[in-house]
Amino acid sequence: MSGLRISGATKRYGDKTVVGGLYLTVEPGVVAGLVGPNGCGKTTTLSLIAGLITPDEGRISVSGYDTVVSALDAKRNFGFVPDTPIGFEHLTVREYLELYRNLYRQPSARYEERAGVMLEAFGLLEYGEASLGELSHGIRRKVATTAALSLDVPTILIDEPTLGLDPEGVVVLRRLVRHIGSTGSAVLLATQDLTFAERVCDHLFLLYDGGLVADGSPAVLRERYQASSIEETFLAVTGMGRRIDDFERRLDAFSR
Amino acid sequence: MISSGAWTLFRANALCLMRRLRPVARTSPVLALLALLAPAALIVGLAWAGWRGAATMAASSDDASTAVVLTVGVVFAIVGFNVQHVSSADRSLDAQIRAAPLSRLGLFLSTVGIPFTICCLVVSILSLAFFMPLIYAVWAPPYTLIHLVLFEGAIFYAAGAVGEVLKRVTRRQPAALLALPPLVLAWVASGLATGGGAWPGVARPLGHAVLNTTIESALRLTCGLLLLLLAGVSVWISVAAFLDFPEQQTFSHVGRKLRVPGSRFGVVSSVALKRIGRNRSVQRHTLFVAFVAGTLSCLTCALLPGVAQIALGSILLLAALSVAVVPLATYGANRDSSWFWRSAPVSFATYVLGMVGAGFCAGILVVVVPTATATLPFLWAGRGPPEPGVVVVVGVTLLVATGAGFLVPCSLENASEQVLSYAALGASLAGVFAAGAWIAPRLTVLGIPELLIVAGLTLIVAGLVVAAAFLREHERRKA
Repeated sequence: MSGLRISGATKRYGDKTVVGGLYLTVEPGVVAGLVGPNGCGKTTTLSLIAGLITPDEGRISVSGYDTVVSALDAKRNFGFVPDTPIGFEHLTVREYLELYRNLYRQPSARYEERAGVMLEAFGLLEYGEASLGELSHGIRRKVATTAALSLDVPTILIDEPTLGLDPEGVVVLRRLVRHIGSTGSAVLLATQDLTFAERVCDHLFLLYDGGLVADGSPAVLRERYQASSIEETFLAVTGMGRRIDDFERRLDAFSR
Repeated sequence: MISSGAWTLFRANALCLMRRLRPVARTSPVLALLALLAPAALIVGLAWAGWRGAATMAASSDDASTAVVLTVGVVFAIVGFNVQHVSSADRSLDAQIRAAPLSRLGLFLSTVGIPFTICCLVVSILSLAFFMPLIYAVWAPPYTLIHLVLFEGAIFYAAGAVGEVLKRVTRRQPAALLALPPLVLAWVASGLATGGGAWPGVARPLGHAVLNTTIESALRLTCGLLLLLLAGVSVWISVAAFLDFPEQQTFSHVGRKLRVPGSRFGVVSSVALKRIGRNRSVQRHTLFVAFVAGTLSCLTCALLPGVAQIALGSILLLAALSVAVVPLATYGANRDSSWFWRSAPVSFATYVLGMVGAGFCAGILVVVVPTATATLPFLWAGRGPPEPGVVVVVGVTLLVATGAGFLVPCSLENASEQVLSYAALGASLAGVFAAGAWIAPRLTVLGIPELLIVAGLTLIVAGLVVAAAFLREHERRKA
C-alpha cells in the first residue's frame, strides 16, 4: 500500500478539538493541498502525519506504515518542510543538508546532485558555506525545502510552502512540486495561498474548524460551487463570504 | 549501541555550541582565556582544597564520613537533575529534524543522554581532584576512587530518572511514578548488601572506605555500587526513551494576569520575569529543589545533628546553584522576543537593565521556596538560622548567574547549552570569589568594617555583571 492515508484522525487539546475525524487519501503521483483559514487544523494535520504529535483517535499511514505503530518506517518514507525556520543556526547550509541526508541514510551522490540542482534553482549556490543563522527567513525556508525535496522518498509534506519566498522562489517551488508529483511521489501541502494551491494541486481538501468540508480537483470544486476561482469556492463553502460582506459594510461606516 | 543518527545529531549540536562561543571569544578575549584556564585552575584549586581539608576529614567521625559522601551525592543529584529535568529532547530541535527517521531513544541520547554523560564525567574528574589527596593521606586503597566515581554516576543517573519521572507526573502521567520504587529498592538493597543499612545505604560503607576507617569488602562495595548504577541508568533510559511522552496541553491556565507597570524598565523586566515564571519547567524545577532541600534538612536534623550548621549552609548553596539555571536562562528564554524590544520605543539601556533585573529577580524568587523549606527543619529543631555569609554568597551566585546567562545564553530546553552556561557560571564564580578572598583581608587590615566591604564588593560584582551584559548585547546588535 503506498501513498498517504488518514482514517478518522482526531486531535484534541483539552476541550478543544483541533482536528475532528478527518479522512483523506493522497495517492502516489498526486499533489494535494490542505486549505483553510487560520486555526482550521492544517498544521496540526501535517504534524500528525509527520509524527510530531500523536492522534487521539484514528489511524494515519504513510506508504502503508502506521505513523504511531511503525513510526520509524513511516518517517523513512516522507520528507517534511515545516512552517517554522530551521534551527542549527551555527551550521552552514551544506552541513545542514549533509546532516539531514545522514539522518535519512540516503546515498550521498544522488542526494547531493539533487540538492545542487535545487540550490542553483533557488539561487542559493553562493550561500553553501554561510551559517544558517546569518540567512534571512526566506532563504532558510528555501534550504529546508531543498533538504526535504532532495530526498528520494515516496511522500513529501510541506507546510505553508510559499511562506517567506520571493516570486522567483514561488515559481521554482511550483515547478519542483509538479515535477515531484509527476515522478510518482505523493505530495501534501498545507497552505493559505489559494492561488498557489489552485495552480499546483491536483486535489484540494478544504478544512474548516478541524473538519473536512469539501474536496475535489480545483476544476470540480469550482464547478460544484459555481465559482470563478478557488478563493470564491472557499468563501462559499465556509460561509465566510457573508462575514466579509458584513465587514465591508462596517468599514464603509467607519469612513463615513 | 548508539545509532549513527544519534551520534550525527549530537556532533551537529556540539559543533553549533562550539561555534556559538566564537563571538564570546571575539568580544571578550580575556574572558575566553580565563574560560580556557578555568578547568585547569578548578582542578588545581579543588586538589589544593582537598589537600588542605584532608587532615580534618581524616579525623572526622563515622557520621561525618557518611555526610561527606552524601554531600557529594547531592551535588551530582542536583547537577544531573538540572540537566535532565529542565531540558526537553522534544523541544530543543526544529520540526524538520524531529520529523526525520530517528528513534525516540536516538533523539533522547543525542540531545540529553550524551551531553548528560559528558557532564557527569567532567564533574567526576573534578571530584576526583578533591578526593585524591584525602585517599593518599589516609592510605586508602586507590581503587576507592573508582568506587567514588561509580557512586557519583549512579546518583547522577538516578537523579536524571527522578527528574524525568517528575516531569511526566506534572504532565498528568502518574504511571511514571512506578519507576521510583526500583530506584529506592536498589538504594536499600545496595545498602543492605554492603553493610551500610537500609537508609544510609551504600553511602556509609563508601564513607568508611574513603576515610579508610573500616576495612570494607571491595567486591561487595563494587557489586552494590554497580547495582545502583545499573538501576539508575536503566530506569533513566526506560522512562525517558520508551515511555510515551505526554504532549503539552496547548490551552492551559496561565495563572495571574500580567500587570504591565508604567515605567519602561518595569515593562521589560516584568514581562521577561512573567514569561520565565509561567514556564512549567521552572515551576517544576523549583518545587523539586525545594523538596530535595527540605528532605535533606529533615534527614540532617534527625540523623546528623552534629554537622547541622555546615549541612544547612551546604544545602542552601546547593539550592542556589540548582536554581541558578533560572537566572542563567532568563536572557536565553527571552531571546526570541528581542525583535519586539528592539522595534519598541525602549532604549538599549532600559532593555539590558530590564533583562538583568528580570534574571536576578527570577533567581531570588525561585530561591525563596527551597531556602524556606531547607531552613524550617533547623529552626524547628532550635538550631538557628543560616549564617549571614551564606545569604550573601547565595545572592552573589544568582547575580553572577544572570551575567553568565548574558555571556553564554542558554534556553530551558537545551541540555548542552545549559552545561556550557553552567561552565561559564563556574568560571565566573571562581573568579569572583578568588578576587574577593584576595581583596577582603587587605581591606580589613585598613580598618574598614566587614559589612561595608561585603556591600562594596557586592556592588562591584553587580556593576561588572551589568557592564558585561551591556557589552555583550552591544556586540550582538552590531553583528
